[in-house]
Amino acid sequence: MSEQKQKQKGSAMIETLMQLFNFIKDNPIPNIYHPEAVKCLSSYLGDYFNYQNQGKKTLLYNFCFTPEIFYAMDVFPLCQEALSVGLAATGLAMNEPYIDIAEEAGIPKELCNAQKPLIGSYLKGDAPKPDYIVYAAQPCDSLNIEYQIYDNLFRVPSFPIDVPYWHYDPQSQFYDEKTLPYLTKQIENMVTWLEKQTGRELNPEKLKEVVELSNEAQENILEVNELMKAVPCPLPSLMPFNNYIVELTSAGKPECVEYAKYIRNQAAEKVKRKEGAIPNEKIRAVWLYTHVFFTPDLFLWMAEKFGAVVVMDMLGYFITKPINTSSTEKIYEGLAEKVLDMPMARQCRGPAEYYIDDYIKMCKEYKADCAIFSGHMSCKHSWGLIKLLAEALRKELGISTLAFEVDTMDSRPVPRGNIQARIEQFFTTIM
Amino acid sequence: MIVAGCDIGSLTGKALIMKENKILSYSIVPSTIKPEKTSQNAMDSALEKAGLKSKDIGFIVGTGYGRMKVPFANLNVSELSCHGKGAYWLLPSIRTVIDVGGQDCKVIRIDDEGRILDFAMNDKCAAGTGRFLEVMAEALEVNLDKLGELSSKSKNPAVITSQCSVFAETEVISLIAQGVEVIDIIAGIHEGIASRIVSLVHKVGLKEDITLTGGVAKNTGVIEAIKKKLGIEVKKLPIDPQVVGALGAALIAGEKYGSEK
Amino acid sequence: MKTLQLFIEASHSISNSWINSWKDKGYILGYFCTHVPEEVVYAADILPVRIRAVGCRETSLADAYLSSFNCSFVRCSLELALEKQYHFLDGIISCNSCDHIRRGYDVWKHKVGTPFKHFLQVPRMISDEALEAFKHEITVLKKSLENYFKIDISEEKLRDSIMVYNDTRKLLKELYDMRKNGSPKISGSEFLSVITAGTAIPKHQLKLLLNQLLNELLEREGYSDYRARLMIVGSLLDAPQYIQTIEDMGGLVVADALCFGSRYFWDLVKEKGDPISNLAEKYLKKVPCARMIGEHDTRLRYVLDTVKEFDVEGVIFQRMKFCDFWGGECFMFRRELRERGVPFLELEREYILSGAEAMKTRVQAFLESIESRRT
Repeated sequence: MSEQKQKQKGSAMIETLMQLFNFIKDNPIPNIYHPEAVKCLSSYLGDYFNYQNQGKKTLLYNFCFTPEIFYAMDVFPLCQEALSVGLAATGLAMNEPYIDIAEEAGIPKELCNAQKPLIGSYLKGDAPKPDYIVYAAQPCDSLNIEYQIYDNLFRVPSFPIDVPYWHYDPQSQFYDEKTLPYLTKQIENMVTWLEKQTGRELNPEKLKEVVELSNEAQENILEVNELMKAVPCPLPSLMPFNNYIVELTSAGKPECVEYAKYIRNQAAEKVKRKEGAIPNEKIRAVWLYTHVFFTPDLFLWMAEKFGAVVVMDMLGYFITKPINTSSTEKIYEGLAEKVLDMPMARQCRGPAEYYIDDYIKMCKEYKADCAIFSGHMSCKHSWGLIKLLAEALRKELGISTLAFEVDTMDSRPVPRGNIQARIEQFFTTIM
Repeated sequence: MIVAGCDIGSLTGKALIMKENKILSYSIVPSTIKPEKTSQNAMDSALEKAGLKSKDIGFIVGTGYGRMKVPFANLNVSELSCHGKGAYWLLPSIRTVIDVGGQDCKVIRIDDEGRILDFAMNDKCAAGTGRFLEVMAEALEVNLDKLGELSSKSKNPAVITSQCSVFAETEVISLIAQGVEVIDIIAGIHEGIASRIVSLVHKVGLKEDITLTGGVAKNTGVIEAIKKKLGIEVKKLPIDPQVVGALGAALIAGEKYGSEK
Repeated sequence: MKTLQLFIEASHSISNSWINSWKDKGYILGYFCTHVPEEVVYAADILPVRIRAVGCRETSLADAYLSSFNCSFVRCSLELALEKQYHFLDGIISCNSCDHIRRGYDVWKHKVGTPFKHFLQVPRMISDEALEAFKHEITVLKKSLENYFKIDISEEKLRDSIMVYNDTRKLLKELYDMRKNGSPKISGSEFLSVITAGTAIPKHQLKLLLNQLLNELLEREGYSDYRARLMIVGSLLDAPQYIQTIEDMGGLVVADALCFGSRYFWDLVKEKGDPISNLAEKYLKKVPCARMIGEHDTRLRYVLDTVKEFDVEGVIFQRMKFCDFWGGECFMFRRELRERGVPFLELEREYILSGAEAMKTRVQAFLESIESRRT
């Protein structure tokens, strides 16, 4: 069998996900996955196979990095977490078998299930071996060690990038002048390394083109995030996540720009008409974490039963400024800032203050009535600060926080019914 | 050369006496709070059955939870080694031994000579142990011994989703209230326990032939459920599955006695 | 074995007589993790003491801020601090060794009231850029100490500090190497007592005590009545009692790859050249913790070399519950050691010791398995 066919044979995980998204594309689920977002994702997954057919390479990267350079270098950027989160997000318990295989092979139960499914899937033969791996060592230990395990299992060329703990913003109390240069240099090194691996040089013009498209999309998303602050909130609860997943996988592609513009226009229209995403907005909640992926209709239930809308969540808080493209050096620096500011990475990679300060700001600007933490059980660093955060939100803004245990990727430990009971109890208490 | 093995568990104590590779007798007694007393009771019972006195026994190996408190044992050996040894002696084709006792569950992989290759234990959680079945039998007001027979009648096992036996008990009670057939609930319980056991088997790696030992091995419903999940035959050992540990201990006693002389 | 007894006793508590005497005339700084360059602190005439949580019984105060999903070592250390048992510290230095440690520090800095607080960013990879970054961090630490404690850390003091630390490292290595022998004169649990006690003893005094100990051990009968020679790998372990339980079953622990163990003293700091650069090099490139990305093969090689040199017959890999780094590492080690025919036992544990019976059963079965395979 040709190497290409061999690769495609081990792509059942991607094939399945693509088929499911194609299905959703043809059978839209309102207020959960936006048709335009699903279109982008289907196209993205389809591109994996297109690239394969053209004999192009696949590069696996993590959700705390950004794909512009890879698009510029014409390798397919396969975002690992887009697969595992994507499968969970179908609500069909598709990660569970892979999680079990990985755990039976000896992966400790307490490691995060956002990275575990790929291990199980690879052991089963459903996941392809990428040609290269690039990852930014953030936001957490679990990701860091699971990518080490990928390195150990796949044994393909891999380039990890160390992410500084300190801040690049001189206004921050955690500012260190070495932060940005340290990361920028590594990104430059990564490009040199990728050039050697692919045998092709990066075309600076192509990079500029890709980044400018990424910038354009980003400008629109920034506007969307501003518009979400309106009362009533113009877009449904899962919109920030939809935006995020498109940006994460397609930043630098024209369709990402189209998408971002579309959503921006939708939001702007609704704000102009003072129209909310739900008819009767009673509760504005800020979600202090990623949402519960395996039950995408949870927010729908919250809207229907309580008139609750989640005005912003962790992954939707995509606040990167557009990148200066006046030179390749400036682009690398801008990308380094973007990596430091990637949603979730930004809050989680450093001192608890990064997380707490962001959320105090978010709750204030989005006029939150309350905050909810869907505490992913293997997320040690967020569980390690949630009490400090809840304390701060009460002290600064007088708002209450609900924190509950859940596995956002696995429907079994804490089923939907339990989560609903906790949320119901919380809403009825605070309102 | 007469030797004996004494397996002191948390729920039962077992003793087995052998002479020149033949089993003379064995006993199963309920455990008392003191392992010393339990081992004495088990031994006395086995001796009586064999028509022997304690001075007739040349070497005794203690095993099980209370192995270090068997006052007349010359040596103590882990129950993992003993179950592996015993199963292999009874059926040399065995390569995976699943011991499901009252309070824990162990999977032992043995090599072509009956030596331990690897093992995995669950002794933290009641799910997957005899205790789980006990709790459920009580909730259903059914005799523990009847569980296997009853579940064989089920055509539509209930699905028990709770991973924890405490929550599963609540779930079972609500199933009863919903009017689900008892035989279907029992079948569901068997699937639940089989799930946990199979998970542990995979941690160690499955190699045929496999067999079950320990008290739960008497439950045909659990055996069937395991067979179904693994898709392979589960061999039955030609002895009461509860005494395999004591048998293994006696075999080791024989080896040690031989070498010491 | 008077000196050995001294070490064993000192290992039982977080404070000791040397700390008490030092307190009368100097400052004391607690630190987490062996990536912190102690020499810089010592060069400022401040005593660096590694944070342990021995004696912690429960974590109700710590659990008000951390969670049940956090490492029990961090929760226990924080607990002792919140109980004011670490009141004798004038400062605390932590680093981003892992998620648990850094969140423990996030709580400590707000809730414990230790006067001087410093956090060190330790790179996760070994590279030229990382080395430069780490050099910068150490320089920042030095300046921070100088400003707060109003003391000048001269190059000469740094060199002296490095020398005495290297001396103790060499002595600890000498002690460790004694275990290569077929009848080691020091057991695993005794050795761990020496290491753990040593992290709270001023190095000048530790040097004398180690020399004394080595002399005493010359007279001692070695341990020969054991069932197998074992090596311990895995998460932070500072409880000699844990090793004792293994040794009570007959498994003599002759080697380790622990941070309260060989990884603490294995690498020396270069004595020629710029001290800060040399410190950065040793503290970044030393035998790596599982947190160091891209270094798994180095860790594997280290363990395999040790297995060969110390005639190790079985490796026990203990991992603390919720320890992601060593948990993931265990998955890789299990496969790789088994492929090379090295017997391997995985044990899960918590910082507060419990479940000794369950542990004994596993260790005993492991030893029986090793013995049954001997030709």
